[in-house]
Amino acid sequence: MFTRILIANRGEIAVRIIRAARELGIQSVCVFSEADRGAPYLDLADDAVCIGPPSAAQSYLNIPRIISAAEVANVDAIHPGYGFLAENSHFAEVCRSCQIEFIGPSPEAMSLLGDKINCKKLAKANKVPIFPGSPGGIESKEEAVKLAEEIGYPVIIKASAGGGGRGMRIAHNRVALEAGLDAAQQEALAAFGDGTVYLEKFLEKARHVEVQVIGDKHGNAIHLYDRDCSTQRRHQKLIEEAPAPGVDHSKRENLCKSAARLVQSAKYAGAATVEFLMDEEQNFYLLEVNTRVQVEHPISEMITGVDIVKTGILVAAGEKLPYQQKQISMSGHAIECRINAEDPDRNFAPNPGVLSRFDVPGGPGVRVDTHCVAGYRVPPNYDSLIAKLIVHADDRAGAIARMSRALREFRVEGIATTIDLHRRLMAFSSFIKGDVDIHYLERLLRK
Amino acid sequence: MIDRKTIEDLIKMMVEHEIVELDVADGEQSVTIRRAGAFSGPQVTVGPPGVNAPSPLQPQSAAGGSSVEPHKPSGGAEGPFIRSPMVGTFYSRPNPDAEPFVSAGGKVSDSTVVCLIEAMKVFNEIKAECRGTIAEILVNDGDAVEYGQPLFRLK
Repeated sequence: MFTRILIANRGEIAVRIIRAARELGIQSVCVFSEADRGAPYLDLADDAVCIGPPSAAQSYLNIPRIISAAEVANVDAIHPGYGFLAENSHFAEVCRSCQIEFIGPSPEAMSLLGDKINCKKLAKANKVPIFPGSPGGIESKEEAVKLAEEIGYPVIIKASAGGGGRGMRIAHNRVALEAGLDAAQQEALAAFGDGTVYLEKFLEKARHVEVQVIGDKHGNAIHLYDRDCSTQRRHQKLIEEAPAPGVDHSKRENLCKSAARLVQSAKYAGAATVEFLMDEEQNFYLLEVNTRVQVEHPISEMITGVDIVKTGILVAAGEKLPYQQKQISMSGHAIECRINAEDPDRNFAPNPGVLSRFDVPGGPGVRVDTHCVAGYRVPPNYDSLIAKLIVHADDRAGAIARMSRALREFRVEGIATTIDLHRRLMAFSSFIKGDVDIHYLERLLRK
Repeated sequence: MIDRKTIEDLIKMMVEHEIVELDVADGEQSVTIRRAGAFSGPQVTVGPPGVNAPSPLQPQSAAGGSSVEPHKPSGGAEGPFIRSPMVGTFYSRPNPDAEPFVSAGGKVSDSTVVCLIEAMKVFNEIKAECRGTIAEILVNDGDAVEYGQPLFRLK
């Protein structure tokens, strides 16, 4: 087991990792940039090392500085958290060559599942449902047109190396397809240095359903059931819930098992999330695999009782998964609201500043994952997530009631936050009915 | 007085009585010893930092005491300082047999090499990038240093 680990991240996920390490009797050393100097959460770690100025490129994304910190702090392993270097296979490779364990998948497994085209191939081999579409990159317009006719319009053109909505074009007909191919290829080349694009069926009304999986270094992988993350704005999730509401039991079991098979076949150790879109007939289509622990992991923890971060550390240290699939069951319903330092009334403009008041909710079934306290200055340099409010109850109605109650108790002053927006969403009839799709929030906000 | 013998005796006592964490203070000195797990050795941190502040990290075993404080100039004295531009291990000499790059009273200009900082097996020459006279060297050979840490105080 590790004696000491370095946390190459900040904010709430750093706190989450410190907590898991503490419970495992492992010391934690947290890196920080000048913008995070003096942050109270750093006192929770056993030690903290300043690695650079505020800019992420010179601190949290700076591999030499992070490795140096790991060496001088004499750690056994580095936990990358999420974002930053978490899905950077080069960083994982550097750790390995410096004989520091990377708490996550091997560079090979990460590359295999992280590349959309390779992942699709592996998915097909493991009977994971994928979008009807091109098996690989599109070679010619003729090929694209033929395929689109087979799949049926509308189709979506996506960059193989891409993400975040760039290098994507939707086409409802042949003309749009041909124009869209050129545009998408150029955008992909400019944004990612790789103009390879592929084609998929596009769903007009879909829900985002993802499966949490954890693998170990002994060839085992288990799933921790699914989550629904359809409440999104500009591809950023705001609300997540577990399990996905209204999904047939047998469809859920098949989906989750196939996701675990996929991760297992890639010889992947650590936490991974297999993301799907679900159409109105509960057909699932693979979107991509996220080769890291995710922001919304707590809701899966609440319904299964498994500590995902602790388990990730244990498997990185070479231990077998402490659970067999048959021991995993779901209980109740969990919801997470991401509380961001953003002003929804000003187009979600980021709102850094000092928290003059920060009263977090409590009581039964309420969990708050945060690095913030009253008096803390939210820096302007990084993402705007200040807290995750998570509730768990016996059923979905109970969870919504509990979340509404907890949001009322959550008093933040000094900066604008998305708390009020979440309160309104908990009262929104379509959300309450579970009748949502990935674009519903944007439609609602436009009104 | 907390010395090596004291710490050894404390560790023996902790193992014998299965104590997980122990804090002992004696005047200005204090020591915290924490056992990481049933089968791993104890971790020792000694504080508080004295006048010649040791770096926040002890390279050999446990990382040191409390985590974050704005770097206090030693003895309460003010700058200007030459601060570390990187994370690594500080060396005051070009090699173990040579004279230190600079000493107290020495003058520096922009391009004067004042020390080496080793990071990932690469030794980086750190230049003063300022003019002045060294008043005090704030770290010791082999100390771990972090970004922004004061290395030299100038007059």
